[in-house]
Amino acid sequence: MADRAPSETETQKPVAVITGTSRGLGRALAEHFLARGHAVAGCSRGEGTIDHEAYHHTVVDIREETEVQAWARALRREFGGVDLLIGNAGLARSALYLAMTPGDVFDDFLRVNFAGVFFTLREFSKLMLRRPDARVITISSTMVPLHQEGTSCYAATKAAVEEMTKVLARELAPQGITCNVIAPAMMDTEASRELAKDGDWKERMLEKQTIPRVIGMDEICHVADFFVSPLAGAVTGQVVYVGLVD
Amino acid sequence: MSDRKKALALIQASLDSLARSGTIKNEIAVDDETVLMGSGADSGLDSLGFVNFVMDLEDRLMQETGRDCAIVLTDIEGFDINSPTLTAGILADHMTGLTG
Repeated sequence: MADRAPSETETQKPVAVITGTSRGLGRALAEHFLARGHAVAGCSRGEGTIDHEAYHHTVVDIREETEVQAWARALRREFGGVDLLIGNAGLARSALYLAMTPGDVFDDFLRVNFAGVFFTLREFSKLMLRRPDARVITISSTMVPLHQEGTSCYAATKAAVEEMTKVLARELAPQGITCNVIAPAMMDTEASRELAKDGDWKERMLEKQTIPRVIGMDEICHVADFFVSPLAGAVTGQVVYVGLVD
Repeated sequence: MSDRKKALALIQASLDSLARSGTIKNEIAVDDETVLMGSGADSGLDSLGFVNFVMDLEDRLMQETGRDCAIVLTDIEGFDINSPTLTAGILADHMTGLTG
């Protein structure tokens, strides 16, 4: 559970819940919203890596329904509600052509990228119902419109996240809550560096992008800022592909 | 919560609060047979309204008992997810068992 109770000052800050904050995009987003004055509750399967007075880390495996429920209950007690949810945690790793993909790899993608995001959205959207202008953001990938070979499981689960977010956007619209998707092209993360070890993978991927360069974390944070801004209250159910014309 | 009447009173208080906030249009006098969810529901709660109701009720249960209380529909005896109808009486029984 969270390492400490929030101070009185923190409980007055907007509360952001971000999954997968120990590294990569999740960590960048957490640091970004901390800098913007949010209290951030983050999780990962391991210990937290962010040292900030308004950051609360909890060890959670989002594949496990009961762990996500327990985390949501703890945050409900501590903060009362949630203003921003970013379902970032996901699995990105090298995969084979579909004909060669083992069942356990398929299952891993389903459990983390699909079930994990579902549990997160279900538990935390309930905590947003009394927060006017609350925001939900999920993370997809340009691999969905690219239909890239070797991404049958990854891209399919990200497509599922896009659809789930759009349905949730309709369901939560009466409460004034928006739900949108950010789908970045290649970023410099541990996962992409791992994939790039595979020959000319990085060059081949960049060639497919409309903006053929690595996308910065700050550029993704900028899109998140747009979705979070009060004037984006009528923007919901949208997918922003960063670096690619779909 | 060992007192079933108290459970029904919490349901009543929660619905009153939702009526005041405009989530439901009319005030409802709760008794055992009041249908909260399902065909012929008396509560006037739509799906999102029902989620709001459950959240509000959990908050009230927590205040009442000082403990975490989660109302999980599929744990309620007599509730069939394939033919979902929930009366205040069935919910009050569940709340009593949950916290007793």
